[in-house]
Order: sequence, then structure tokens, then C-alpha cells
Amino acid sequence: MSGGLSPQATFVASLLAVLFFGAVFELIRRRRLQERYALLWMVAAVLMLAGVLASHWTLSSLANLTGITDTSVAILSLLLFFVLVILLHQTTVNSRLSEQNTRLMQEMALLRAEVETAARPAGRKDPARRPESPGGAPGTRP
Amino acid sequence: MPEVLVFVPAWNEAETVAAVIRELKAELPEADVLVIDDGSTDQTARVSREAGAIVASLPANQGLGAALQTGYRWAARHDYTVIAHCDSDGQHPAREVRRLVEAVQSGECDLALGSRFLDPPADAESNPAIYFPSPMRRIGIGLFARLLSGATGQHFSDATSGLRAANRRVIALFAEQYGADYPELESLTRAVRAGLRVVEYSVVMEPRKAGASKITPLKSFYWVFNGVVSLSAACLRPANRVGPS
Repeated sequence: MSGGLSPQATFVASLLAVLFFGAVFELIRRRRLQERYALLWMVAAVLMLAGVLASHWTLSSLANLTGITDTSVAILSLLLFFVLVILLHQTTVNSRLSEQNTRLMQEMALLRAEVETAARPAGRKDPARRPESPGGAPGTRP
Repeated sequence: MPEVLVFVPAWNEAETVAAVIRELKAELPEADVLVIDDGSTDQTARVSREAGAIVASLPANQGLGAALQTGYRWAARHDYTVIAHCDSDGQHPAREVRRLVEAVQSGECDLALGSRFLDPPADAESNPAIYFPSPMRRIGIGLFARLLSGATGQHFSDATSGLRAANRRVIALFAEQYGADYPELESLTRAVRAGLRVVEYSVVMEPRKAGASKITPLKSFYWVFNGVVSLSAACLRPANRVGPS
């Protein structure tokens, strides 16, 4: 049912896995990948390599585990699922970033308004009404 | 002496925003007016400043929710006791803003909502001086009001009005967290679940003075979808706790 990969395929696949690992490492070295994501991708690369080298075992146990007898279908489904999980994770990262971005912009808008109102001599109708206004540094109010 | 802040989120509304500010200042002379310029590419910020408003300019367009939250944050930082917010296109008459502010000041409620459907004048649909949503929009808004009523256990006639007034308890709640995209339903759900008194008041709105509505069919669809999701999510989160007023 499920034999391992042919020697040639094993060679190509392991080469790709090693290259992938190298690429991840290089990205970290150039500080273009944060360490926390590096772990994920390095583990992925090692799993890839291990899976290729022990292809006979991986393919058959994959088929047994999923009940999908066609090993290529099993492998593709599993990969697709992995990619989906990563994409979902990326979306959460994106959402968090955009939220922080909004927060930053709000803070900037508020600070600019603080500066402008502080610079305007009679900007406020009744500055005495505001206890923190005279001499209060912008942005330090509770 | 009560301190009132009226804030007006504005995105490319240079044509109308100055008149809104002047009307607010005339109707509520004791109030400060803050315009949140939501990344406008026109003269909205300059025009607002010249009309005498404080202006907080977001460097890029962040959506209505983020703009409103900016207003709530300003209010929280400067310790205003009552806030109101209204649209920048002139649809919300300043006298209605004042009525809502007075309702909050009197202690009748924590959050006052301007509703177009609570008690509309008989000629609302035919009178050109009154803005009344089209039948299509009324269906959508009605659906939302029903959803919101179901989620909160309190009857709402208009879920999506941008005319509100609120006191410190609400300011604290919304300054901390406010939905970014279409925040009306979620924010009201949170307020009711936090035990705040949310009360609707009948208001009459005017047709917008210039420019076009930013609601498109595609946005409306997204809005409905987003509303349903955020409303369900709001119901599944633990209720917020708010301090005494």
C-alpha cells in the first residue's frame, strides 16, 4: 500500500528541508524573523526532514492514522491543514498589530490635541475651570 | 459646575463640519467641542480648528469606532462629567444633542440614545426637512434593533443612531474598550450588561447638508455580518464591571 519515497525523491526532499532550515536560520541572523516565529519554522523544517528520511514509516502511519489509504492525499490534506492553522495564527497576529496601531494613532491624535490646546493662548474658554490646566504637562493628566 | 464635552467624528466632512461646530457652540455654550478627524484628506481639521473646536487628528483613517473611542479617551483624561457625540454631516440638530445631555445630567440615565423610530412625527417620510431612513435601511435597522433587544432583554427601537450622550461611568467603560468597525450594537450590549441605564429618546434628524453618505450596499452587508458576530461575541463575554458614577 504505502512504500517509502524513492531514493531520488528522498534526496530532493531532504535537500529542500535542509535548505528551508538554512533559510530560516539566515532570516533570524539578519534579524528579519523574530525568534518566537523562528521556533515554529525550525520545528517545521526538522519535522520535514525527519518525515522524509523515515518516509516509509511516516507514510504508512499517516495512512493508518487518518484512514486515508492514498498516502499522497493524506500528506496533502495534513499539509493544507497545517498551512490553514498558520494562516489563522497570522490573522491573529495581524489583528493584534492593527489594534496596537489604532491605539498608537489615537494616542498621537490625543497628544497633538493636547499640544495644540496648550499652545493656544485663549483656546479654552475658561482654563481656570480645569485644575490641571495651568502648568500641567500635556499627557500627564489622570 | 458640570463639564460637558461634545465630540464629533469626522472623515472628509470639511463642507459641513464647521456649521455643526458653530451650531453646537451656540446651543451648548458651556460645552467644549472636540472634532476627531479620522484621517481626512480634505480640510476637515483646519476648518474645525477655525470654527473653534479642539481637533484630534488620527494620522490615517481608522473607522468610526476608533474615532469615537478617541473622543471617549479625551473625555476620560480630562475628567468631563458628561459627553455627547453626534455626526459631522449636520443630520443631528444641536438642540437634540442638548436634550440628550440634559437627560444624562438629570440622572435619568447613564447613556442616552437618540432614536429616530421611537416616536417619529407623522410626516417623517414626506417632510423634506426631516431625515428618515429609506424602507430598505429601515428593515436593516429594525432587524438590528430586534437583535439588540433580544441580546439585552431591553427594548430598542433604533440600534444604529450615532447620536448619544453619556456620563462618567459610560466614558470609563468605552474609553477602555470600543469596537473598531461598526461598534453600535456591541457597545450598547456591553453597556446594558454592565448594568448601566441605557434610555432611548425620540429625536428628529435633518437631511445631511452636503456630501454623500458613506454607506454602500457592500458596506451594509459587511455591517450586518459584523454586527451579528460582534453582538454574539459580546453576549458570550463576561459582563464588564463599572464603578459608581
